[in-house]
Amino acid sequence: MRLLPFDYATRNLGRSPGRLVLAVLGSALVVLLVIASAAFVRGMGSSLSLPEENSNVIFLGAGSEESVERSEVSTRAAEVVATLPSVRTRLGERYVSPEVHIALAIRTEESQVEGRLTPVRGVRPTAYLVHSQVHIVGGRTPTPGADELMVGGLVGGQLGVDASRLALGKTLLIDGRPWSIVGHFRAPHTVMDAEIWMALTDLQVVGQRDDLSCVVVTLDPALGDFTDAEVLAAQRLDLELTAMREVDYYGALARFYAPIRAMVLVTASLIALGGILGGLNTMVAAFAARVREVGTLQVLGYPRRAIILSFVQESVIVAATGALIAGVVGKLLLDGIAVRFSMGAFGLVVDAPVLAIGIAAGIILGIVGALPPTLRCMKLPVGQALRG
Amino acid sequence: MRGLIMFSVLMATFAFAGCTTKDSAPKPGGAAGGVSSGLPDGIMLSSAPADAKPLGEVKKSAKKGDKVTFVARVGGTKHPFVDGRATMIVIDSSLAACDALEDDDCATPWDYCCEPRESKTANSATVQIVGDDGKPLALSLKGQGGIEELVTITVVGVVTEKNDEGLMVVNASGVHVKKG
Amino acid sequence: MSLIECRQLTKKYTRGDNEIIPLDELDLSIEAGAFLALMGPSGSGKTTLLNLIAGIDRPTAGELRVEGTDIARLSRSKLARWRSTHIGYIFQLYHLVPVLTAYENVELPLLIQPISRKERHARVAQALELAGIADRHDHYPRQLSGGQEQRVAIARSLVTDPPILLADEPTGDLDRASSKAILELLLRLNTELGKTLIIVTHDPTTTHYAKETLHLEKGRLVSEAPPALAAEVKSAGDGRGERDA
Repeated sequence: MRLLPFDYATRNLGRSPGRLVLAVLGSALVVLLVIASAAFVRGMGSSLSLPEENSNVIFLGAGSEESVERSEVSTRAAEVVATLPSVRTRLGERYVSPEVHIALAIRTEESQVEGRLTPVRGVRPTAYLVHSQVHIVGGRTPTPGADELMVGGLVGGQLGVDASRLALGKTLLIDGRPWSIVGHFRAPHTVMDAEIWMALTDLQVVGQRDDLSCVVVTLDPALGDFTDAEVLAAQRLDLELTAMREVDYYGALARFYAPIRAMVLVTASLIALGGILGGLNTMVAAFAARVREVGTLQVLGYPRRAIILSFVQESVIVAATGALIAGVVGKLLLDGIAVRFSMGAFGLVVDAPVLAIGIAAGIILGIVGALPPTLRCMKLPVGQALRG
Repeated sequence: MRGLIMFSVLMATFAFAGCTTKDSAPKPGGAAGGVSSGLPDGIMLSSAPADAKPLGEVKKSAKKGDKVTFVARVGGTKHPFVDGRATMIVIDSSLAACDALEDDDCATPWDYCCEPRESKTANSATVQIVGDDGKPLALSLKGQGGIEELVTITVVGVVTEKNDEGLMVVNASGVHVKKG
Repeated sequence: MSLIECRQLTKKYTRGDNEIIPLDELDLSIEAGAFLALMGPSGSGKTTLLNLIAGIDRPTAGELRVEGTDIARLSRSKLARWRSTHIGYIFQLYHLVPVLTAYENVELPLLIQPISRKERHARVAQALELAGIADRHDHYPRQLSGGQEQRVAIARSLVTDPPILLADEPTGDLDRASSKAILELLLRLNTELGKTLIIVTHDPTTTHYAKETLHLEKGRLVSEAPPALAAEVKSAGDGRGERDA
């Protein structure tokens, strides 16, 4: 096809710098929203999904398959579970982590308002073996009985406080009692990143309970599989246990939160649609001013398709530029931001697929935004367009 | 932006809190009903043994090593079968399954979620069919000879594990499935 | 056969309840090498006729042959291609693309021709030279006077070397001196290059340059300008030409 030079599109953009800036910012805003939504869905999804090779099994109280915080498991059960032959062992250490999970109202020393419910996990040192995603990035693990705790990377966002308030040596208040922060850990893209960890016995005291919430074990695939854990739970009816793959546990949670994802996507689509309509309005005005130019180009022998393509090029350049800006802004400002939800918090994830979605949305915005006004422009007979 | 996300999350949490999840019904698995495959010959009984007692009654007095014959229903937990192992959980027939109650739309009535946990534990047993190594056979019992959730079965076997906290494992040598 | 043949050429359209007939069964033959001035009051059908010959508009009835081709029967895309090689069109308001330089504006019609970059360059340079605006080739339209803009527009219409040049009030927006210069340029294109020129105009001075002047009224040719029209032509000659509706 005989085309207008690409230059033609780019130079035309320079005609009205004010409008250009507005158009770029407008599309950047729409794309940023799309990126934020995608980052939300992806962040939530990745916090609830585990790597395929994860061979962890959670033993929960029977009937509490949906929520570890409601689950009760006896200390004796933990001892029995530890005897499961297929549990992984390294250097004599068995990968068995008895845990207590409680959501507690936590506030910083400086804060006067009531604390926010934050998931707290009481652990033994074996927890760091079983949960290999957890990396201590500062300080050390809490010592039992010393009123110490360790905070995950998203706890600041979860509590709504600046990171400096959670520095090593700072104090968090639980029920008015001070606990000092002795460690920082990260467990990116997992629910643990939004948790506070302390010694198992300490949390049992705080929560006034003498049992556990769950026992998490890592199986050694060479020694046995999940079925062994299931058989153990089925045989030991006295322990009232249910065995679940950790992957399945979070999979069920992810399904539970699927409606939220859908709602976010719908909201984002509606706003994007609004953005497109607003963009259309601008484009209609911008292109209407150019009917005579369209007429002239047709008189010079340019086929309509070439003219449409050139106008779409212009619009796509604008939208793609906006999308790039949105991508940079999204990566810098949104990536890792904590979003609170009922079970803690997760971080927005702005990664390559999310950015790709944003850029694609920008390009679609450009095409969809330009076509209707361009086609409308083209409908006018040439003779009339020349006079227009 | 953040506000919007927060708002959506809040709304969705309200809208879906308290809902029961109904997607956890066990998938049909194992051999087709009526056909016993992989089980040792003679395990599936064609007629019910005459001297069977209710499981609850048997459990009260049984000791490790006792030979027992009892009647019970498959269930007492959400997943009474272990996929890939000849192990299942049964419960005394006198307890009420959730579908026996009016106005109940429970998707997994065999979990007896309406019974107190202590009562379930006291009236349940683990039934397994073991191989020469003493471990459950590597097959699912679901579907074998009509074994499904909530069917009534009569079990003949030996108690291999028992304690007063609720533990009772029976290695079955014969199972009869009540038809209808 | 004549270069342009119109037989019973009619254009009608309805606007609201009114039927408007800008051209009414017009018979007209224009020979190759003609320099024709089309005059007439507003709404007399001058621009309509020009647009039909250019293939910008389609007749409602009748026949229109240009170089033997019945252009009314060409598809839209074929017509666009035909136009790009046969017709040069000059507008009253030049219609240059503001973001392109004079050179690039003239080059625009050539970009859809299958010719080499080198030949394109040569032809653009030649057209700018012919139009007497070569020294302003790197200027943008906003940096040019009206007369200079029209020279660029004429160079653009020439660059594809079409046999027919159509001009719609080419001097309508120019002062007297510029008008004269443009008309002299057009005359030179007619006499030296043999281009067939058809000019729609209100400007009576055009008739001094044209070899033939035709008057249209209510969509038909009239042999002579009626007194009223002559008066209008006289008054319009000094200032801006009225646009033809």
